[in-house]
Amino acid sequence: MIRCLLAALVLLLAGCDSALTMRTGASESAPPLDGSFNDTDVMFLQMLIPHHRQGVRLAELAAELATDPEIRDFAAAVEATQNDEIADMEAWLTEWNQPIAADPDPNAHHGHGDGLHSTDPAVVTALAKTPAAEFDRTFLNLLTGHQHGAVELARMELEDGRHPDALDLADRVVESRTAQVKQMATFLATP
Amino acid sequence: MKLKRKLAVFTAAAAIAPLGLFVLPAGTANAHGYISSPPSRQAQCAQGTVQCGSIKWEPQSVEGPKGLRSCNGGVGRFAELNDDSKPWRATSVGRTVTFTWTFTARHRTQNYEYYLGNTRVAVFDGHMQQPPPTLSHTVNLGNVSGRQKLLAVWNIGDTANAFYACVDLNVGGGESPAPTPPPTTPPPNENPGGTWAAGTAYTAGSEVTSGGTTYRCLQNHTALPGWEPASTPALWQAL
Repeated sequence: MIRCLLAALVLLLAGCDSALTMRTGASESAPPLDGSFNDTDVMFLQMLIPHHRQGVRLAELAAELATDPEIRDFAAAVEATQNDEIADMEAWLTEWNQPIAADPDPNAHHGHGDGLHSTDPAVVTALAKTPAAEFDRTFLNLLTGHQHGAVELARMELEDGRHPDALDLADRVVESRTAQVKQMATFLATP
Repeated sequence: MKLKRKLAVFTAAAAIAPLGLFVLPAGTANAHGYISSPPSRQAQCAQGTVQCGSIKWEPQSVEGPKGLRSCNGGVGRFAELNDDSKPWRATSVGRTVTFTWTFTARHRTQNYEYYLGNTRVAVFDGHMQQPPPTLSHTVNLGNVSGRQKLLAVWNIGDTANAFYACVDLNVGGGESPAPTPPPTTPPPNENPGGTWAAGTAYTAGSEVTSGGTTYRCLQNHTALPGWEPASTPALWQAL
């Protein structure tokens, strides 16, 4: 229900009836026949892919090194789902004949997102070096910050994006990452 | 071993691959962060402890001009952070408290200040450097007791702005801080099967139905909203 409302709202704001047609069309995953994606869709995917990769690296470490088996399972599920999403995103960009990586001219995206939220490699390195006694808390703190960044990108897409697949992904990113943050808070509160 | 090698490869790749995306003038990088432990007001919004508006999606964004003493940093859409009548949970602590920051982007830092009312109880120099990935400060609150509203301020080094976070505390007499009270999230349901439901702990091999389709679980996990079987083939195989 909320998802439908959100989608409707996004379409209203975007004012694009072609996207509405696409969204209610027979095949959800088919590429838009009229090429109805916009710059925001492309930028969202191009930014989220490297962001996801960093998250996968954090999760990979935790799936192996976390002390709490529940956190290891959680991390493995995050790793697996984000790898799926990366594959989807790369497939869409390929279908749309768009590069997987962003335009090398930084000005090309000026004025869209107002910053970069990828967890930088130093963060992954820092987690890898964290002593076992502090590992779980450090991982949860780092992944929490990381997923806030993913939600920020997804909310940008929900405001200005157009393609139904990308909008649906953004919806799921907001929902699942918000839920992950809550779950991680629960882990942190458990001594 | 395997992990280390993967990590090395990744670090090298990350240094080269995203050049186009990540080359930005230093001043435009976004600084974002908040105090996650003890849970600040915006952390309680994000964790669902307290029902909130859009702050729940961006607890890291309480940014305003330096010099304010308000919980919302002067941001109108986050005004509810100033509302002392909301059911903010006060964490029981001793007089010495360790505050942990969560960052989504780390920015060159002037300093971190901690206030009780108009009294600055602690300040930590940021040396105009980028903070480490994780950061904690241990603060002595002084001779106070009972319920207190602490304001933490992260003053950014090369912009006019700061980030604000209010933390509700219940200061006892003892020196050892009490553990953080658990959030309201119920424990996972340990009796899976039947219809897929968020909050249920599923083990690999268990089966559920969702949207008329039966799925087999591929990876132990607790189901979350947004992880419905139809959209997570890594977690669920359609049968």
